[in-house]
Amino acid sequence: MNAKLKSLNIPLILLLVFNLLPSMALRPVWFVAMAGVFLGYRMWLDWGNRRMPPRWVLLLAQVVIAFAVWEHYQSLFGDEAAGTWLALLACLKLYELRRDRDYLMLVILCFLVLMSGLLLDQSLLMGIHLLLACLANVGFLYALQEGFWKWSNWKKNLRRPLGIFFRSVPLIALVFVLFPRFSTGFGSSSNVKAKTGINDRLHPQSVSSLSPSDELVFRATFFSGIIPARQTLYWRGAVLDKGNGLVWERADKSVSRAPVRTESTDEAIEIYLEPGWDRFLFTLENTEAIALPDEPIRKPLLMRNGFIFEWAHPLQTRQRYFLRVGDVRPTETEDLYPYLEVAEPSPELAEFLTPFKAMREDEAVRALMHVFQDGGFQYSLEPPRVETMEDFLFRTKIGFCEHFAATLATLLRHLKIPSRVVVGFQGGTPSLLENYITVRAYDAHAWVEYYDRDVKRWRRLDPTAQVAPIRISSGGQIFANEALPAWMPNFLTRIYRKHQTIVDEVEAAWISFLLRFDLARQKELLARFGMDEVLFRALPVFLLLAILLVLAFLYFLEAQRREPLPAEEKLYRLFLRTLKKRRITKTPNEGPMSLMARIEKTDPRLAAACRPILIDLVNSRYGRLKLSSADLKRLKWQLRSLRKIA
Amino acid sequence: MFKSWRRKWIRYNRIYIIPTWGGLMFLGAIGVLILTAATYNNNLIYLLAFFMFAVFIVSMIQTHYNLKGVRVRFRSSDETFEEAELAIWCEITQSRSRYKTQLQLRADSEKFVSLESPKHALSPEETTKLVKVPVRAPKMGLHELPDFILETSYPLGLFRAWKVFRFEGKIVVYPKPQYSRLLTAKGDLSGREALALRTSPDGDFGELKDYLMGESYRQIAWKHYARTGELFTKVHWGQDHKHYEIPWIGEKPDLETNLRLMSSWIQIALGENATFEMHTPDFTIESGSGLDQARRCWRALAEIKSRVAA
Repeated sequence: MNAKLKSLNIPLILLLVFNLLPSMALRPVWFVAMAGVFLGYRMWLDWGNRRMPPRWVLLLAQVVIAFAVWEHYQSLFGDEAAGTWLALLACLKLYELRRDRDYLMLVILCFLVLMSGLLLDQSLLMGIHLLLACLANVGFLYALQEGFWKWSNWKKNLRRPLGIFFRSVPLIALVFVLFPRFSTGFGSSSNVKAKTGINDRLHPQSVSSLSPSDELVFRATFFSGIIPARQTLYWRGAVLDKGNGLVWERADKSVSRAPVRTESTDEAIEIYLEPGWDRFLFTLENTEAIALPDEPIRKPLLMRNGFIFEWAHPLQTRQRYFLRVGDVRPTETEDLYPYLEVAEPSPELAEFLTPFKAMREDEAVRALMHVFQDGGFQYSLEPPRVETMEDFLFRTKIGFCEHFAATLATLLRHLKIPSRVVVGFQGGTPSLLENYITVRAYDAHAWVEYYDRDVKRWRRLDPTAQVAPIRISSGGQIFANEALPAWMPNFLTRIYRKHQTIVDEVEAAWISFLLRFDLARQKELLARFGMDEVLFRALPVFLLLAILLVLAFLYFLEAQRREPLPAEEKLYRLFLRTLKKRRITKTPNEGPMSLMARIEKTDPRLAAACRPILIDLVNSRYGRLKLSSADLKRLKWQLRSLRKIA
Repeated sequence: MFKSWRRKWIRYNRIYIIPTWGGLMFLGAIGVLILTAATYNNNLIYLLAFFMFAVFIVSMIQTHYNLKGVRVRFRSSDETFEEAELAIWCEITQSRSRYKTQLQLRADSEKFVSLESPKHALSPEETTKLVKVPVRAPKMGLHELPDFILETSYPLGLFRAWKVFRFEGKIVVYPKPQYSRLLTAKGDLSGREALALRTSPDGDFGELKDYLMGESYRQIAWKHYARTGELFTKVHWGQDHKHYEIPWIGEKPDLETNLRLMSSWIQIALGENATFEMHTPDFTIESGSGLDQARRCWRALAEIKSRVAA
């Protein structure tokens, strides 16, 4: 191997490590261990100038990697499996660095590794890492072209990629706006693991398990500019119709194709939903209609009993949708019988229910709510384990929202009032600057809906609001604080929360920029520049023309670029400018020394000050004198002092 | 056909640019990124792809501009034996004061094998640079100057830009000496004594040798004897002078072999500091000695090869 190229080995290993950083956080532990072994061993070999392992060892390592990926993902393809596989193969490629072509190949692999990370996470932090990694990769390409690496050249290594980046920015922006968004038709059915908590089954701790997490679920923007009070925001996800006691699930599996609108002119709320929260589209209770932006291939949207919307498959990427909300909740025409099914009550429960059976429906509902308010119930993130609803209702009385909701729904059914449990999110943190709220995992909630036969509508009942009103008025965040490490002092907690709000704002702006630019936004934007539907079809032609235009502009810039002047030339020009202020102008036919001679005749005092400066500059320009940085500083100071000479 | 096509379409001092192998791989990676971005509707991947695309385009401009305004002038070329390394001297110059880096100049010809040459840089302070283009000439004869290709892959190695320069001129490649048969010297041109009296070109003797009984007292280095007490005889330049008459040995059985043999005789004569003359089918090179005479003869041999080949 070329000795000069060898100097690139350690920087290349470090470059790969930097590109792999997000993968280290997002991929399984065995991946981190394996990548660490490959990278560490390669560095150890390079450090000690040791021999590379034979080819059969590398082949074996490839087989091991493939096996590990298969074992974990049950596939070698798909975004996660292929990304993991690719990242590990990139680590192995470090053992095959022979020619400059291998180095270049590895840098290209670094870009692909970055891409695989972006499939897993698109946060602002990821964006910052992406930018830094891109600059590092391009910087390495420069060094590779030179054929060697010098750590002392770090300024040069930093300046060059920054230069190319700034030249690239107009082109990136232009292509981003004009590149026609298309779909390959793949990727929509990929399997993303849904996070626990919000699904078709509710049991103790299924919702409370989410409460310590501050993971983003969705952002909702209110176009009216008025964000409703937190306690009125109930984002419905799953509706569970079959249950008894503390465990509830969905029995009715029937779904129908949801009526979906494409125009979003009269919609009130825009939602950006993060992937990984199963198939649910979270909607407010008084949602009348749902609209999706016009996408090349619209994901099939389904509707099921309980006015619940869901995708046919769990979300793979972040999705935008709109809600149109009315003043009242839409009526649901459905069979109420399934909402009355309940097992026989235990004697203890039957005795408890006796006084309620004599009441009217509305009175019974109010009385049950009073039970939760005054019955000594406590709200806790870590309630004691209970076997039956009766244990909770009559003995422990400590629970999370799922305990209260499941219990109340069961009690209502025993009183022949149709009821169901709804799982979703409650509240959301309003933005400081804009009209949106952020809903996070700790806002997960479960509540009850009962059918009011008088108005023939479903109504919401939230027993948690009776037990812990602060949970509803202040949001889940207040309890999530408890989930922070116990040793963390209060002021640190406050800083953490404050910081999180700022990050939220920036991240919201980032997502708004990044995600709002889909096909619909592209059309909207270009329509503002007079590009109608017919012209839009010719977008590739416009893109090509624009690229050519930018190319010509960049070439013009390149031609106009001025080379930096040598230091002595800069100082000489400064010297001439200083003289000009004293009305001594150099004539075109005058050299430095003849100028000096002229000054000596007219102003001997000034000449005495000028002489040492000029002699140094002339000797440096035409002689062998090399000016050090100290010399340059001294000359600058001398030039400045020239101005003070009267 | 390809050669004539290339000659016709590849113009003098015009910049041509194509992606390198690495550039094509880079472009392929951009394609993969765009397909992935479209599949997952992922704008960050789009951004990454467009960043790479912009870098690709900007690097193309920079590669092109790195060659713009740079010219090559032919200065001279060495003469050498076939299969030996030959230096062609050219001048790289630029019309404007710019930094031009990683410029590589190489010869492109079927007659020469281009050897690895270093990369050069021009700067506002050094707008002209004399550079050596190393080649190896596998065949003897008088060859046309090769095409000179000035190329660069600066800054990222994703593109290769090149210019072709063509100059009128010949490069002489001598037949490589092949010592298969010795040529007998014709003997001294004058008597031994006379030669012994001849002085060196500098008016001094060349070296000392041990005195042998019977040698002339006049040739004893008396000054040396006075200093050291040892007797030595002065050896003058040309004292052992030989003369070779290199004949034309014809084209049979093989012209190249014969030329190589003649070349070896020239080298022997040169090595022995002999005078030599050479006969060719068309003319005779008069007697002479030294490197210039040898070059005249070798050049004549190279010309014979070229004339016969033509």
